[in-house]
Amino acid sequence: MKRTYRRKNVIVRCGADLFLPLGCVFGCYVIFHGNTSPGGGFQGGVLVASAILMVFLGHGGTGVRSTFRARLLHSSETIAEIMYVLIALLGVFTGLNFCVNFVFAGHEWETSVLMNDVVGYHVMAGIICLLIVMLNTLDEDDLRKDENRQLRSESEEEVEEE
Amino acid sequence: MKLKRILLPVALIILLVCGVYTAILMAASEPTYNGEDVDLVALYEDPSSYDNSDADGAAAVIINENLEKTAAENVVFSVVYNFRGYDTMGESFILIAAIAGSLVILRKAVRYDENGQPIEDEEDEL
Repeated sequence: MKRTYRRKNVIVRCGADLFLPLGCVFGCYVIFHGNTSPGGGFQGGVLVASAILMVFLGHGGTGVRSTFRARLLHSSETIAEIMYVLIALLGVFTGLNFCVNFVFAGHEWETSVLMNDVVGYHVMAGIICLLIVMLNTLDEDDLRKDENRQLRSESEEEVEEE
Repeated sequence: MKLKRILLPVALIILLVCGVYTAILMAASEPTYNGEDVDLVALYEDPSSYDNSDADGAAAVIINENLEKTAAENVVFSVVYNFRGYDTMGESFILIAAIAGSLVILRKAVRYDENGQPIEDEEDEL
């Protein structure tokens, strides 16, 4: 099925493409350095999730719908939560409390870092899923009709979707 | 109806009495931490000069035995993921519940024709 959509302004598109990887890398930095620096899983996850807003600004609802899968993100988010509980339970099997490192001082690797990463992925997937749902309603209800109406009136500018 | 009229003032009076009693207790007891002697500028310039030998209660445990208990360099990190790991887990469950509720409310509306079959829209689903 051929559908038509209007391309965004070239300045907005290139700006979004420029700042999208920068935002992703900065969010991942905040997640992975959460054990030694300010920030952590929650804050970094929200930073990575702002990537979808860049995609929406640059490529519209069509770009968002063809890039992200909300169902997959929603289910993997639940898997991340289960992983958090399992990693926290590792301390119980070694005779310690829930949520306690079973690797003790002297090692740089610790289980809390894994818990931090899992929370980061969880928040990222959750916020992206939430934003997809919200942008879908916004896009389909108002913007799409207006864009289609404009496309019908000025049919010279329309671009065919691949 | 009469009971309801009496109940509200009685409950408010009980709350007020409890609050005043607690405030008097808190004012009479000794403060757990007295930060009058701390020079903030010196503390910022040299954090290792801070004397934490007289900390009490949970603060003493968190400050003095952090590294041997949790093996975490950052105290905030060890509080969030070790001492209060249950709290972080609950926050994650809150997030899951919020997103599931939003998915239910904002889902795509499906219209049905006369035979009870859903009308397929041209848009793909979520």
